[in-house]
Amino acid sequence: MVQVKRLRCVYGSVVAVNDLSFAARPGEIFGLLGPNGAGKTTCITCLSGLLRPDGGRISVAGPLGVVPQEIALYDELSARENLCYWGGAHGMRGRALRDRVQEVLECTGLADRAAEPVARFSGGMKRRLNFACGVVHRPRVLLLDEPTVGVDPQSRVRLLELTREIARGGATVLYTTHYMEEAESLCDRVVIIDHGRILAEGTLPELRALLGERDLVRFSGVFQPAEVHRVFAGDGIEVVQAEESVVTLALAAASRRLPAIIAELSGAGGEIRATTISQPNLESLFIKLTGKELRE
Amino acid sequence: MHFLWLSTMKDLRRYHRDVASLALWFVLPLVIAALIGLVFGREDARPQGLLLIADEDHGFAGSFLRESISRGPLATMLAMQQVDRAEGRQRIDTGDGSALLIIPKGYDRAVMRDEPAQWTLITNPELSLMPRVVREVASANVDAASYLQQVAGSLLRAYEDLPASRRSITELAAGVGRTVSGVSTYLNPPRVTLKTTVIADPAAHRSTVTEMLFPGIVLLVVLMMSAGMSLEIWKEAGAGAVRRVAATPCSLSGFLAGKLAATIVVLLVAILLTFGAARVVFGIPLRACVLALAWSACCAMTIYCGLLLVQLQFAGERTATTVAGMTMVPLAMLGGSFFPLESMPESFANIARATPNGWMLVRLKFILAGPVPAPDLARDFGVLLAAGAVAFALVRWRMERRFVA
Repeated sequence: MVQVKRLRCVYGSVVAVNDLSFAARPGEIFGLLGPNGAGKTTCITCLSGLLRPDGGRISVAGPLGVVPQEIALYDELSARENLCYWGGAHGMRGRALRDRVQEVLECTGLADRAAEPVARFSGGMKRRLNFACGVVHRPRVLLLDEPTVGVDPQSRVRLLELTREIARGGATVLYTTHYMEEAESLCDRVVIIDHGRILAEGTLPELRALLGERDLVRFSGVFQPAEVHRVFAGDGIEVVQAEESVVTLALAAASRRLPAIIAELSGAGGEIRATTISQPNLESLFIKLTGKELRE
Repeated sequence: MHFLWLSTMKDLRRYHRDVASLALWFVLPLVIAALIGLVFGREDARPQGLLLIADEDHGFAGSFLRESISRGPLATMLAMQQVDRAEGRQRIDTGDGSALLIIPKGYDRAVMRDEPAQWTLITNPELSLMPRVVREVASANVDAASYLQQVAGSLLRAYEDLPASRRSITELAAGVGRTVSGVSTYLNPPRVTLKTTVIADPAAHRSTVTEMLFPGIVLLVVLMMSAGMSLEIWKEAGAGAVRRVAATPCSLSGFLAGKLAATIVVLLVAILLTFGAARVVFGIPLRACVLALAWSACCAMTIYCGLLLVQLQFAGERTATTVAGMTMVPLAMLGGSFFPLESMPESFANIARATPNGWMLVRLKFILAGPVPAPDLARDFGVLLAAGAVAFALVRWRMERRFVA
């Protein structure tokens, strides 16, 4: 169980986390979603006890496991030695540690490379081992800070499956990412944060409902934002995003109304180069909430 | 305790797998020692000085001085050259010579007449040992002249007053002989005797340059290897390992203590190898090895923590590495690791003894030279361990602030 109440963290004059509150239950994968610099890592750092918050209260029940964004491994040591060290740091020892290390090596698909120095591993293998080091001691609360950054698709699938397994075992998993599709496929509940504040919170269906049953139409090309807002004011069409190179609209029955919309957009001085229609998802919700796409 | 063991083993494994870089840090000081040994040779480390004599009197005193230096052990330490006053002064000013002794014209006559007379000694300010030797020799000669005045002053004056045609050096010698015989009743057997105690047999062993430098080389090995190993913290912090440790139930103190223990083990092996090389290759006799090893280990702990502390004052690895190097090299040079303290000018030697590694070096020399009184030993170990403990606590504090928070 993780409970965060009115968390506030300040770096100098920058408020990294501002009045953040949420609760994650055992067996739940709870997503912290937001662009880079949104305050996700600061929140995780506070939860792992590395940073003293400037306000608010944090409660973490049970042994904590942390999988940091960095690959915090020793390159000179083998995978097994790394796991033994980090397991030992959490108080495991003897046969229990050895058996668990073997189990984790097999789960992460590293058993056949267990004796090799980590320096010889690929990026994906290092990520998997980094993950394994965070779960070797069977934590009841697991903090995953963007664990799939820079990972190949195969390793990503394996890491996501491991995360589900850990949650099925009853652990509370806090998962931060800026990959929307990852959060959609993995998380039971999500909070979307930006500039340290919660923009929306709920299950995926709850969040989708915020957009209504409307499709999202995205145009790329050259546009005049003021004209776009003028042309589509009212008429059951919501201008989600209007920039010089991108316009995103939310409307019902988008494919049927598309020719008329293109004509209006062209009439407003726009030059359309590409068009996509999509069902509402977290990304479109994020765009709707913030008026911008996810920053890299 | 378990985590301390884990951390120690972790770092020992890492050092073992990157033994090449450790070997480089270890070999470098030994190469320096070997080079210095080759340059200065393995013979007795006996200083040699050059005494310039401007004898303007050309009399008895000058001859006596030259005789006293050219005979006996002083002959191996001092070379003499006759110069005139101006040349002598110029050579001393350019550093060519240990000292210039000026015997003014009329000195012999003044001694015979019991009149004030003066030698002038001009020493080279760049040197300390040889000018002191010259000063002692000159002072002994002046004393001898003074005693001669006291015992046979009337004879000398009478001799001086005679016309040149009636002067006989044989008569003068006979007269001085009679005077000395007259007072011999009081001198033989002597009422006052000088008892000389030899505290070490000088023939048994004489220090070579390599031997004088050996304790400094031990400290240089410790300094260089500590500097190299202390850089590891940046690698670990950069990978996020320090933060990861901070997120476990284990303390950063255990993590740091493990690093320190592994470093001391590696440095002890290096010091043992240095001792072995000193004994086998250079034939340096080693006494109190266990105590010297214990002292070296404590020095290693303090130096390692000190260098870590210096590095952790800076935000970036590059600056920290540069500053660590800039700290280590001057300390090594000034603290007697490149040049024996014995060969330094006294002012520099005093500075050297005041540096942390110079202080450690002086005590290591004492330990290697022979028995050190237990209270002194306890005090020195106490000071060193206390300094190490303070440095450890500060490093622990800086590490948390620099890498975790």
